[in-house]
Amino acid sequence: MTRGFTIAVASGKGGTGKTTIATNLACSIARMGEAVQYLDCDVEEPNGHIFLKPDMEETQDVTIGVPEVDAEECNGCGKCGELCQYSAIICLKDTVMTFEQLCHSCGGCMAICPQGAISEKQRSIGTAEFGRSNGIYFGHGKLNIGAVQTPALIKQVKRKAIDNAVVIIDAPPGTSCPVIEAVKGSDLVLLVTEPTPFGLNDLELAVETVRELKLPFVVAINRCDIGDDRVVRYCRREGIEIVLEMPNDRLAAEAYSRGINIIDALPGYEEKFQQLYRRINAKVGIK
Amino acid sequence: MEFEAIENQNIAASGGAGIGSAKTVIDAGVQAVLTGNCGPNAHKTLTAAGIRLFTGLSGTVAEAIETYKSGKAVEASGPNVKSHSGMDA
Repeated sequence: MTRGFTIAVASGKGGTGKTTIATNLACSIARMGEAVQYLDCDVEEPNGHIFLKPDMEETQDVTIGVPEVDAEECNGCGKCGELCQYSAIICLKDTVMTFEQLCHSCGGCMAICPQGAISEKQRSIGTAEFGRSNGIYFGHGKLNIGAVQTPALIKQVKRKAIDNAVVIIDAPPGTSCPVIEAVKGSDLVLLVTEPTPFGLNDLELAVETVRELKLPFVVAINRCDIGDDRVVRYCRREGIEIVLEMPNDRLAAEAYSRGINIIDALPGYEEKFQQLYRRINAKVGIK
Repeated sequence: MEFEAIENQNIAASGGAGIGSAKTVIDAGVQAVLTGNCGPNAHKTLTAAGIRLFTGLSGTVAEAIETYKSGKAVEASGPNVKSHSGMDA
Protein backbone atom coordinates (compact mmCIF):
# COMPACT_ATOMS: atom_id res chain seq x y z
CA MET A 1 0.00 0.00 0.00
CA THR A 2 1.23 3.49 -0.83
CA ARG A 3 2.17 5.88 1.88
CA GLY A 4 -0.39 8.63 1.84
CA PHE A 5 -0.04 12.34 1.39
CA THR A 6 -2.34 15.32 1.48
CA ILE A 7 -3.10 17.77 -1.32
CA ALA A 8 -5.13 20.87 -0.53
CA VAL A 9 -7.01 22.43 -3.43
CA ALA A 10 -7.39 26.12 -2.63
CA SER A 11 -7.81 29.50 -4.32
CA GLY A 12 -7.88 33.14 -3.39
CA LYS A 13 -10.85 33.78 -5.66
CA GLY A 14 -14.13 31.91 -5.39
CA GLY A 15 -15.62 30.12 -8.37
CA THR A 16 -12.32 29.27 -10.04
CA GLY A 17 -12.97 25.52 -10.09
CA LYS A 18 -11.58 24.11 -6.84
CA THR A 19 -14.34 21.55 -6.45
CA THR A 20 -14.26 20.62 -10.15
CA ILE A 21 -10.54 19.89 -9.95
CA ALA A 22 -10.68 18.24 -6.52
CA THR A 23 -13.56 15.87 -7.35
CA ASN A 24 -12.28 14.94 -10.82
CA LEU A 25 -8.80 14.35 -9.42
CA ALA A 26 -10.25 12.13 -6.69
CA CYS A 27 -12.24 10.08 -9.23
CA SER A 28 -9.25 9.72 -11.54
CA ILE A 29 -7.01 8.52 -8.70
CA ALA A 30 -9.67 6.02 -7.59
CA ARG A 31 -9.89 4.65 -11.14
CA MET A 32 -6.13 4.09 -11.10
CA GLY A 33 -6.83 1.74 -8.20
CA GLU A 34 -5.22 3.89 -5.53
CA ALA A 35 -6.64 4.65 -2.10
CA VAL A 36 -8.05 8.17 -2.16
CA GLN A 37 -10.07 10.31 0.19
CA TYR A 38 -11.93 13.50 -0.62
CA LEU A 39 -12.64 15.88 2.28
CA ASP A 40 -14.83 18.88 1.51
CA CYS A 41 -13.61 21.52 3.95
CA ASP A 42 -15.63 24.33 2.35
CA VAL A 43 -18.03 23.79 5.24
CA GLU A 44 -19.94 27.02 4.72
CA GLU A 45 -20.96 25.85 1.27
CA PRO A 46 -19.95 22.24 0.62
CA ASN A 47 -20.82 21.03 -2.88
CA GLY A 48 -18.46 18.12 -3.59
CA HIS A 49 -21.24 15.67 -2.69
CA ILE A 50 -23.25 16.88 -5.68
CA PHE A 51 -20.59 15.41 -7.98
CA LEU A 52 -19.41 12.42 -5.96
CA LYS A 53 -22.88 11.36 -4.69
CA PRO A 54 -21.56 9.44 -1.69
CA ASP A 55 -23.46 6.97 0.44
CA MET A 56 -23.18 8.41 3.93
CA GLU A 57 -22.25 6.02 6.70
CA GLU A 58 -21.63 8.27 9.65
CA THR A 59 -22.89 11.63 10.90
CA GLN A 60 -21.23 13.49 13.76
CA ASP A 61 -22.69 16.41 15.65
CA VAL A 62 -19.82 18.89 15.98
CA THR A 63 -19.73 21.06 19.06
CA ILE A 64 -17.41 23.65 20.53
CA GLY A 65 -16.88 24.64 24.15
CA VAL A 66 -18.53 27.91 25.16
CA PRO A 67 -18.52 29.58 28.58
CA GLU A 68 -21.12 29.07 31.25
CA VAL A 69 -20.89 31.46 34.17
CA ASP A 70 -21.75 30.52 37.73
CA ALA A 71 -23.38 33.74 39.01
CA GLU A 72 -22.80 32.67 42.62
CA GLU A 73 -19.04 32.44 42.15
CA CYS A 74 -18.64 35.51 39.89
CA ASN A 75 -17.42 38.65 41.66
CA GLY A 76 -17.94 40.92 38.63
CA CYS A 77 -14.25 41.74 38.15
CA GLY A 78 -14.80 42.02 34.38
CA LYS A 79 -11.54 40.36 33.32
CA CYS A 80 -13.34 37.88 31.04
CA GLY A 81 -15.06 40.65 29.10
CA GLU A 82 -11.86 42.69 28.73
CA LEU A 83 -10.10 39.65 27.30
CA CYS A 84 -12.76 38.57 24.80
CA GLN A 85 -12.17 40.11 21.37
CA TYR A 86 -15.56 38.99 20.06
CA SER A 87 -17.87 40.42 22.75
CA ALA A 88 -18.98 36.85 23.41
CA ILE A 89 -18.77 37.49 27.14
CA ILE A 90 -19.27 40.87 28.76
CA CYS A 91 -19.42 42.07 32.31
CA LEU A 92 -21.98 44.72 33.25
CA LYS A 93 -21.60 46.07 36.78
CA ASP A 94 -22.71 42.93 38.58
CA THR A 95 -23.85 40.55 35.85
CA VAL A 96 -21.90 38.65 33.24
CA MET A 97 -23.65 37.97 29.95
CA THR A 98 -22.58 35.48 27.31
CA PHE A 99 -23.33 35.49 23.59
CA GLU A 100 -22.51 31.90 22.68
CA GLN A 101 -23.03 32.38 18.97
CA LEU A 102 -20.09 34.81 18.89
CA CYS A 103 -17.71 32.62 20.93
CA HIS A 104 -14.62 31.33 19.12
CA SER A 105 -13.92 28.82 21.86
CA CYS A 106 -10.45 30.06 22.81
CA GLY A 107 -11.01 29.24 26.48
CA GLY A 108 -9.45 32.56 27.54
CA CYS A 109 -12.32 33.63 29.79
CA MET A 110 -12.16 30.35 31.70
CA ALA A 111 -8.41 30.64 32.12
CA ILE A 112 -8.41 34.26 33.27
CA CYS A 113 -11.33 34.09 35.73
CA PRO A 114 -9.78 34.44 39.22
CA GLN A 115 -12.90 32.97 40.82
CA GLY A 116 -13.01 29.86 38.64
CA ALA A 117 -16.62 30.81 37.97
CA ILE A 118 -16.60 29.97 34.27
CA SER A 119 -16.98 26.41 33.06
CA GLU A 120 -17.29 24.97 29.58
CA LYS A 121 -20.47 23.69 28.00
CA GLN A 122 -20.97 22.36 24.49
CA ARG A 123 -22.73 24.17 21.67
CA SER A 124 -23.50 22.58 18.32
CA ILE A 125 -21.99 24.35 15.29
CA GLY A 126 -22.73 21.84 12.55
CA THR A 127 -22.33 18.28 11.36
CA ALA A 128 -19.55 16.23 9.80
CA GLU A 129 -20.60 13.38 7.50
CA PHE A 130 -18.54 10.52 6.18
CA GLY A 131 -19.20 7.85 3.60
CA ARG A 132 -18.03 6.35 0.32
CA SER A 133 -18.44 7.05 -3.35
CA ASN A 134 -17.16 4.67 -6.05
CA GLY A 135 -14.03 3.71 -4.16
CA ILE A 136 -13.45 7.20 -2.77
CA TYR A 137 -13.55 7.79 0.96
CA PHE A 138 -15.75 10.85 1.33
CA GLY A 139 -16.11 13.41 4.11
CA HIS A 140 -17.55 16.87 4.46
CA GLY A 141 -18.71 19.39 7.04
CA LYS A 142 -21.91 21.40 7.12
CA LEU A 143 -21.76 24.50 9.27
CA ASN A 144 -24.99 25.65 10.89
CA ILE A 145 -26.43 28.86 9.46
CA GLY A 146 -25.22 31.78 11.57
CA ALA A 147 -22.35 29.83 13.15
CA VAL A 148 -18.97 31.54 12.87
CA GLN A 149 -16.64 28.83 14.20
CA THR A 150 -15.74 27.51 10.75
CA PRO A 151 -12.19 26.34 11.60
CA ALA A 152 -13.43 24.10 14.43
CA LEU A 153 -15.68 22.19 12.04
CA ILE A 154 -12.93 21.93 9.40
CA LYS A 155 -10.62 20.50 12.04
CA GLN A 156 -13.20 17.84 12.84
CA VAL A 157 -13.57 16.87 9.16
CA LYS A 158 -9.77 16.65 8.80
CA ARG A 159 -9.50 14.41 11.85
CA LYS A 160 -10.88 11.62 9.64
CA ALA A 161 -7.97 11.87 7.18
CA ILE A 162 -6.68 8.41 6.30
CA ASP A 163 -2.95 7.80 6.78
CA ASN A 164 -2.20 5.61 3.81
CA ALA A 165 -4.42 7.24 1.21
CA VAL A 166 -4.08 10.26 -1.03
CA VAL A 167 -6.14 12.84 0.83
CA ILE A 168 -7.63 15.64 -1.22
CA ILE A 169 -8.78 18.63 0.78
CA ASP A 170 -11.30 20.88 -0.96
CA ALA A 171 -10.59 24.19 0.79
CA PRO A 172 -12.87 27.20 1.12
CA PRO A 173 -12.06 30.23 -1.06
CA GLY A 174 -10.15 33.25 0.21
CA THR A 175 -7.20 33.63 2.56
CA SER A 176 -8.82 33.85 6.00
CA CYS A 177 -8.83 31.53 9.03
CA PRO A 178 -10.95 28.73 7.49
CA VAL A 179 -8.52 28.50 4.56
CA ILE A 180 -5.52 28.36 6.90
CA GLU A 181 -7.18 25.56 8.87
CA ALA A 182 -8.01 23.64 5.69
CA VAL A 183 -4.55 23.82 4.06
CA LYS A 184 -2.54 23.40 7.28
CA GLY A 185 -0.45 20.24 7.32
CA SER A 186 -0.80 19.56 3.57
CA ASP A 187 2.12 18.16 1.62
CA LEU A 188 1.19 20.30 -1.37
CA VAL A 189 -1.29 23.10 -2.05
CA LEU A 190 -2.82 23.28 -5.52
CA LEU A 191 -3.88 26.89 -6.09
CA VAL A 192 -6.61 27.17 -8.68
CA THR A 193 -7.01 30.42 -10.56
CA GLU A 194 -8.25 31.89 -13.82
CA PRO A 195 -6.43 34.25 -16.19
CA THR A 196 -8.41 37.38 -15.30
CA PRO A 197 -7.39 40.46 -13.29
CA PHE A 198 -9.46 39.16 -10.35
CA GLY A 199 -7.92 35.72 -10.67
CA LEU A 200 -4.43 37.19 -10.64
CA ASN A 201 -5.07 39.55 -7.74
CA ASP A 202 -6.48 36.79 -5.56
CA LEU A 203 -3.80 34.31 -6.66
CA GLU A 204 -1.16 36.73 -5.42
CA LEU A 205 -2.90 36.89 -2.05
CA ALA A 206 -3.15 33.10 -1.89
CA VAL A 207 0.53 32.73 -2.80
CA GLU A 208 1.48 35.15 -0.02
CA THR A 209 -0.60 33.08 2.40
CA VAL A 210 0.87 29.68 1.54
CA ARG A 211 4.38 31.14 1.51
CA GLU A 212 3.77 32.49 5.01
CA LEU A 213 2.65 28.99 6.02
CA LYS A 214 5.78 27.57 4.35
CA LEU A 215 3.73 25.09 2.34
CA PRO A 216 4.90 23.90 -1.09
CA PHE A 217 2.44 24.90 -3.80
CA VAL A 218 1.70 24.71 -7.50
CA VAL A 219 -0.87 26.44 -9.69
CA ALA A 220 -3.73 25.22 -11.88
CA ILE A 221 -5.24 27.63 -14.41
CA ASN A 222 -8.86 26.99 -15.23
CA ARG A 223 -10.49 28.51 -18.33
CA CYS A 224 -6.89 29.11 -19.45
CA ASP A 225 -7.90 30.43 -22.88
CA ILE A 226 -9.92 33.41 -21.61
CA GLY A 227 -8.55 36.70 -20.25
CA ASP A 228 -4.89 37.51 -20.69
CA ASP A 229 -1.43 36.07 -20.02
CA ARG A 230 -0.69 37.98 -16.81
CA VAL A 231 -1.24 34.96 -14.55
CA VAL A 232 1.22 32.92 -16.64
CA ARG A 233 3.74 35.78 -16.61
CA TYR A 234 3.33 36.20 -12.85
CA CYS A 235 3.96 32.48 -12.27
CA ARG A 236 7.02 32.56 -14.50
CA ARG A 237 8.38 35.61 -12.70
CA GLU A 238 7.83 34.02 -9.31
CA GLY A 239 9.12 30.61 -10.34
CA ILE A 240 5.77 28.95 -9.68
CA GLU A 241 5.03 25.69 -11.48
CA ILE A 242 1.78 25.49 -13.46
CA VAL A 243 0.65 21.85 -13.29
CA LEU A 244 -2.69 22.05 -15.07
CA GLU A 245 -4.32 24.26 -17.69
CA MET A 246 -7.95 23.59 -18.54
CA PRO A 247 -9.57 25.41 -21.44
CA ASN A 248 -12.94 27.13 -21.19
CA ASP A 249 -15.41 24.58 -22.49
CA ARG A 250 -19.16 24.99 -22.67
CA LEU A 251 -19.59 21.21 -22.38
CA ALA A 252 -17.66 21.23 -19.10
CA ALA A 253 -19.97 23.94 -17.79
CA GLU A 254 -23.03 21.99 -18.89
CA ALA A 255 -21.77 18.83 -17.17
CA TYR A 256 -21.05 20.87 -14.03
CA SER A 257 -24.56 22.31 -14.02
CA ARG A 258 -25.95 18.76 -14.04
CA GLY A 259 -23.62 17.53 -11.31
CA ILE A 260 -21.66 15.32 -13.74
CA ASN A 261 -17.89 14.91 -13.49
CA ILE A 262 -15.92 16.34 -16.39
CA ILE A 263 -13.98 13.08 -16.76
CA ASP A 264 -17.28 11.31 -17.49
CA ALA A 265 -18.61 13.97 -19.82
CA LEU A 266 -15.62 14.97 -21.93
CA PRO A 267 -13.04 12.77 -23.65
CA GLY A 268 -9.41 13.10 -22.67
CA TYR A 269 -10.02 14.55 -19.23
CA GLU A 270 -9.46 11.39 -17.22
CA GLU A 271 -5.97 11.16 -18.74
CA LYS A 272 -5.44 14.86 -18.03
CA PHE A 273 -6.26 14.36 -14.36
CA GLN A 274 -4.18 11.19 -14.12
CA GLN A 275 -1.27 13.17 -15.55
CA LEU A 276 -1.94 15.83 -12.95
CA TYR A 277 -1.82 13.15 -10.26
CA ARG A 278 1.53 11.87 -11.55
CA ARG A 279 2.95 15.40 -11.55
CA ILE A 280 1.73 15.97 -8.02
CA ASN A 281 3.13 12.62 -6.96
CA ALA A 282 6.53 13.52 -8.38
CA LYS A 283 6.34 16.90 -6.68
CA VAL A 284 5.53 15.44 -3.29
CA GLY A 285 8.40 13.05 -3.85
CA ILE A 286 6.77 9.75 -3.01
CA LYS A 287 6.76 6.57 -5.06
CA MET B 1 -26.72 71.67 27.24
CA GLU B 2 -23.77 69.87 28.74
CA PHE B 3 -22.44 66.90 26.86
CA GLU B 4 -19.56 64.53 26.51
CA ALA B 5 -18.73 62.70 23.27
CA ILE B 6 -17.26 59.22 23.55
CA GLU B 7 -15.54 57.54 20.66
CA ASN B 8 -17.11 54.21 19.74
CA GLN B 9 -14.25 51.75 19.32
CA ASN B 10 -16.63 49.14 17.90
CA ILE B 11 -17.58 50.79 14.62
CA ALA B 12 -15.27 48.61 12.55
CA ALA B 13 -15.93 45.33 14.40
CA SER B 14 -17.05 42.50 12.15
CA GLY B 15 -19.05 40.94 14.95
CA GLY B 16 -20.22 41.88 18.43
CA ALA B 17 -20.28 45.59 17.52
CA GLY B 18 -23.68 46.18 19.09
CA ILE B 19 -22.71 44.42 22.30
CA GLY B 20 -19.47 46.39 22.50
CA SER B 21 -21.25 49.67 21.81
CA ALA B 22 -23.87 48.90 24.45
CA LYS B 23 -21.13 48.05 26.95
CA THR B 24 -19.42 51.37 26.17
CA VAL B 25 -22.49 53.44 26.99
CA ILE B 26 -23.36 51.28 30.02
CA ASP B 27 -19.86 51.83 31.42
CA ALA B 28 -20.26 55.57 30.77
CA GLY B 29 -23.21 55.47 33.16
CA VAL B 30 -26.04 56.45 30.83
CA GLN B 31 -29.68 55.89 31.81
CA ALA B 32 -31.22 56.05 28.35
CA VAL B 33 -30.14 55.43 24.77
CA LEU B 34 -31.61 57.35 21.82
CA THR B 35 -30.83 55.70 18.52
CA GLY B 36 -32.02 55.00 15.00
CA ASN B 37 -31.80 51.23 15.06
CA CYS B 38 -30.96 48.66 17.68
CA GLY B 39 -30.23 44.99 16.95
CA PRO B 40 -30.96 41.95 19.12
CA ASN B 41 -27.61 41.64 20.91
CA ALA B 42 -27.31 45.33 21.79
CA HIS B 43 -30.94 45.27 22.95
CA LYS B 44 -30.31 42.26 25.18
CA THR B 45 -27.23 43.93 26.66
CA LEU B 46 -28.91 47.29 27.33
CA THR B 47 -31.98 45.61 28.81
CA ALA B 48 -29.82 43.52 31.15
CA ALA B 49 -28.27 46.74 32.44
CA GLY B 50 -31.72 48.30 32.93
CA ILE B 51 -31.19 51.05 30.38
CA ARG B 52 -34.17 52.62 28.64
CA LEU B 53 -34.01 52.40 24.86
CA PHE B 54 -35.64 54.68 22.28
CA THR B 55 -35.38 53.72 18.60
CA GLY B 56 -36.44 55.32 15.35
CA LEU B 57 -34.76 58.64 16.06
CA SER B 58 -32.98 60.53 13.31
CA GLY B 59 -31.36 63.85 12.57
CA THR B 60 -28.71 65.48 14.73
CA VAL B 61 -27.99 64.54 18.33
CA ALA B 62 -29.53 67.85 19.45
CA GLU B 63 -32.72 67.10 17.50
CA ALA B 64 -32.92 63.60 18.98
CA ILE B 65 -32.63 65.03 22.48
CA GLU B 66 -35.34 67.63 21.73
CA THR B 67 -37.61 64.81 20.53
CA TYR B 68 -36.93 62.93 23.75
CA LYS B 69 -37.51 65.99 25.94
CA SER B 70 -40.80 66.76 24.22
CA GLY B 71 -41.95 63.21 25.03
CA LYS B 72 -42.32 62.23 21.39
CA ALA B 73 -39.60 59.56 21.45
CA VAL B 74 -41.00 56.04 21.46
CA GLU B 75 -39.59 53.58 23.97
CA ALA B 76 -38.56 50.36 22.18
CA SER B 77 -40.32 47.16 23.11
CA GLY B 78 -37.58 45.09 21.48
CA PRO B 79 -34.89 45.23 18.83
CA ASN B 80 -36.15 46.96 15.68
CA VAL B 81 -33.64 45.47 13.24
CA LYS B 82 -31.96 42.10 12.74
CA SER B 83 -28.32 41.22 13.40
CA HIS B 84 -25.78 42.90 11.13
CA SER B 85 -28.42 45.13 9.56
CA GLY B 86 -25.97 48.04 9.56
CA MET B 87 -23.72 46.08 7.21
CA ASP B 88 -26.24 46.38 4.38
CA ALA B 89 -26.14 50.15 4.30
